[in-house]
Amino acid sequence: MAGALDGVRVADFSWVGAGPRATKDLADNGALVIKIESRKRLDLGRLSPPFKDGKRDPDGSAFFAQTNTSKRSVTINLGEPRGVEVAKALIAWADVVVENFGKGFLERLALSYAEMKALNPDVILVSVSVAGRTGPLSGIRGYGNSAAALSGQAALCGWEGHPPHMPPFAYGDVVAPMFATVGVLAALEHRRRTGEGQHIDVSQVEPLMHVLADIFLTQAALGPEQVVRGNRAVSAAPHGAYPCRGHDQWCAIACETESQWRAFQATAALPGLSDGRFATLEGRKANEAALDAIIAAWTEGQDKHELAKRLRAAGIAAGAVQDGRDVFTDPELMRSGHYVRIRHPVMGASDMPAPPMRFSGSRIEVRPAPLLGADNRAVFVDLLGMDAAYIAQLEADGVLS
Amino acid sequence: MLSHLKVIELADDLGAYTGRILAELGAQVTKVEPPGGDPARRRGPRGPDGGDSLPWIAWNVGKRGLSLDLGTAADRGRLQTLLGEADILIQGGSDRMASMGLGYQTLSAANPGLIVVVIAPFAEGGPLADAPASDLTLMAMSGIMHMVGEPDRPPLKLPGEQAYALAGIQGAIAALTALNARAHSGRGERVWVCAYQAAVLAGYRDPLVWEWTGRIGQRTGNRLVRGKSGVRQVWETSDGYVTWSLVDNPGMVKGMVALMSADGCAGPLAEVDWDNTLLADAPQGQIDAWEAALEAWFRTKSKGELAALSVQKGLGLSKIDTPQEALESEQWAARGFWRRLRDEHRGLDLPFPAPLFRSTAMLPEDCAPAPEAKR
Repeated sequence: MAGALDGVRVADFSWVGAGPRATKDLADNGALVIKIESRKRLDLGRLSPPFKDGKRDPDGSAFFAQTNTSKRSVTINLGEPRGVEVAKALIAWADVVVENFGKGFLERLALSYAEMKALNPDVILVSVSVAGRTGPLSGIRGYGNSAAALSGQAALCGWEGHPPHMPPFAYGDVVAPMFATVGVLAALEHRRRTGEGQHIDVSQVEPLMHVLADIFLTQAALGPEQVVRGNRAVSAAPHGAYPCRGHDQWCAIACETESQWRAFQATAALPGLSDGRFATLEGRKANEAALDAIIAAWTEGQDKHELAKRLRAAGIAAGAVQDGRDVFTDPELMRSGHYVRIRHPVMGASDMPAPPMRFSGSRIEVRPAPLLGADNRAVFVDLLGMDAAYIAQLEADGVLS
Repeated sequence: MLSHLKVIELADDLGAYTGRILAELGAQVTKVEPPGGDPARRRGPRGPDGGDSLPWIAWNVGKRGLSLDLGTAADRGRLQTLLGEADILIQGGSDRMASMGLGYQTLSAANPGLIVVVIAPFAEGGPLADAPASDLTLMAMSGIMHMVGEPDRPPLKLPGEQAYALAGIQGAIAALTALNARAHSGRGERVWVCAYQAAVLAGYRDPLVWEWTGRIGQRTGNRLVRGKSGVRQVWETSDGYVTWSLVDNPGMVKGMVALMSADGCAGPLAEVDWDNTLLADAPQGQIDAWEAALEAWFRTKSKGELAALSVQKGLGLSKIDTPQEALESEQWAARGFWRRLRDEHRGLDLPFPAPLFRSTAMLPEDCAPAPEAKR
């Protein structure tokens, strides 16, 4: 079986999370993704913990390894004019160029979209940045949390009546690269139809607002007081996380239909739940604190996994609130091929996440992330056909570092 | 970009955003609903006309509507005809289609180019395959919820319905990936997208930390824990909130302290040699004392004033916008992100998040409304 993206050529100048997560999607599906790196300006992902054996090593970061599966790595010093010439050869070769440099960096190298088009007329250029490449904020530098801050997501996150919340998890580094992947794939289809490339400009903020379209429409139509923070839902009760046996152990329960509610009443078999106050959704919403207290008293002595299983068997949506260990050891994820066992030259045997999809006619192949600059010769000489002696000279001169 | 594509979406919570994304890219998306309409039309706050819920409208902007009673042979025949000409079918994970004689093999025999995207909570054929799930329970299982909220309160989901959104985007990626394969092979295929795995993939850090260190992450509220101590990420100003942290970036810290000194407010921060201080190693008591001075000073400033100073001096601070401020921001207006959703039938004329990104190949336009209820 072939990969769905076999033959797609990607020159990937992106780093950290917001670009590399997109090119991982492409590489695991068969695209040839060449990651252009620099030893002087290491991908911060390579410096990001956890590390193999706790030792800081650019080839030993587990974060980098899982974000860059199935790619190749070359090193080019873009501060050297001859390095820029090598980068131009990769741009001319590529179907798709991905970058998340600071504003103006590519222009200073004479590699604007217009200049790339002169090298490769139907090139697809994808840029990922905090606020996008246009508009009054286009110059701002930031990290994943800046996107949460500017999108309204942080203000909506957390408990009602509390300040905005920023969990230790940069959602802006997750959604934007998924939009970039959509953009690359749609642009490839567009190019097949029209012969034209394009420049796609992905902001990290806009995708976070896009996935909150329901909240923004509610806000615009009805005002902010109709927007609910926390775990509760307008049209479902019970709907929350309930305490279970052990420190910080919880089970999420959602009764979204009347039949789920009746099944919950039958399963919990608590006299308090038969109270007339809880007979209708309106009644449960009006008395939600009392309802939640009755349920919490019932759940608190139970194992979160067993409780979730029992409720699901009764037809109720339920799930244990899982921590990192629960997720890593979840039999459902292990059985369904979410983790792919690979052997990495530095990390050794390790589990890498696969794309969350299975094709009937195309292969997904998750391969180890590349060592820094491992593919210089294979890419420059064997793939691009550049003169081996010239490449050796560039290496000796520090241009390919 | 995709105006040549015909997409059929069977009403299902998990597939609505996939159809929405493909419609935004120009595809002709037809949403097929049962008589009486998609039950999700009644979930969530209703619009001003008391009709369809606003979340349902949001996920279905730009689609055409079609009501079919798949219990009747005539309507099953109509669906089969539509699928004979379609490029992409988006459906849920139940075996309903197969039980009606519209399984993948049958559809593919009639239309070999058809791409069938199944979006389901769990993996195909596993022990959870038929288990009920909701956005909340998928977020719980994903590992993300464990990290969201305060340490002394229950864990929280992210705002909105992010497990559904993530599954919806992965559905669009699956459809477009299969489209690329079809361009070479001439054949469509069936792809199963798992919402649970999509949410797990989004929570990228904690399973990895357990795998490599055996440590289990904990909720830390708005504290960013690095090394021995935790630092605040959210600060109250005179008119709202900003985000900034006392982390090891001496340039940014010195810049902020210089501004405080100019106001005579630097207190214990004034005499510190930031170039030779490793904040990640500073004891929590020391961090708390420095942060008390920062807290008092931030309260004297407006967030707009702080954001302007940050841009000017490169301090890495962002203001935290409310949804209303994001709706009114010049930045997203300048980029044409908010389009007008004009829907006469429902009495709506509102800004709506429309383009996925800016592109030299796309022109801005208003949004077509979500389909009306039929029959």
